Amino acid sequence: MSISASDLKPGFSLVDTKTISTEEVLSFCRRERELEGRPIDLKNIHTDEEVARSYGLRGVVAPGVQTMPYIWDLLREAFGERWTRGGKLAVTFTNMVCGGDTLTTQAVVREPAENEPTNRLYLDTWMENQRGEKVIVGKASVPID
Amino acid sequence: MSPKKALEDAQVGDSIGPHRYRLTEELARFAASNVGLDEFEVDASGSPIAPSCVTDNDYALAWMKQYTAREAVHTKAEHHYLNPPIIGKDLVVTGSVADRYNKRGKDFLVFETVTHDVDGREIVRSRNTLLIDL
Repeated sequence: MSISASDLKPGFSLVDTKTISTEEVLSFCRRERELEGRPIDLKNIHTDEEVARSYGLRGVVAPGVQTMPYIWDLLREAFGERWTRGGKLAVTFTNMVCGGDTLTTQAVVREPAENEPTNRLYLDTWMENQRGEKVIVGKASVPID
Repeated sequence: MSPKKALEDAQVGDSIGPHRYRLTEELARFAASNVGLDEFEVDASGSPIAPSCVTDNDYALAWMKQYTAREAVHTKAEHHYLNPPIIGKDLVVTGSVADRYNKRGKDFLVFETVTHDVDGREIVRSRNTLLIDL
């Protein structure tokens, strides 16, 4: 589904929900390290449940580079090439995502701020967990004709 | 090659990278499967392209060229996706330490990077912040 960015009005909302399992976190971290040629036996909050729990966490923590792409994909699906050739995304990681969390990713079209060029479409974006806690907050924009 | 510095010794203006890697089909498939994509799109020339979020960790691979790896928390990320990366091409990541600051007693480092492919196409410009004082 590709949406014409120029037709969108402030308030238009995109939403997606996904549960990330502990196994998905562990296999992402293992595979990422393997593919990047980094040691895979490192034990930390991303790769070892015992270590994560020793820090008082609910489980292994998904790295930001695993969860931020969910926003990337929400915008890719909506805007297609406008997103992949010119999309901008700026996020802050505000809370940890643990294996087993259900994540709702949202992006809402907003008016451009006074100092922002009008040849882009602006969105506020965020991701929250099943407790309603925001885990990522940010802004995105895509070029429009 | 000069020995790696400790990450806590990084200074504003330090160069990071270059980190050069082949965007293999395996790596592209890994990024695609993370976002539930089963197939690769193709560009106008018919070349298969990877999801550009495959480059989201490039800054880390670049700083690890100069500094010893250590635990740190990724707190902010900014990406300007300019061109989708073509599978099979080599990508080169270069950049620098753009800022270093202390907030509420914690040390943060900011890295700015650019990823190009070997044909000189800019793939992504990024700015990432790490909390290094855990």
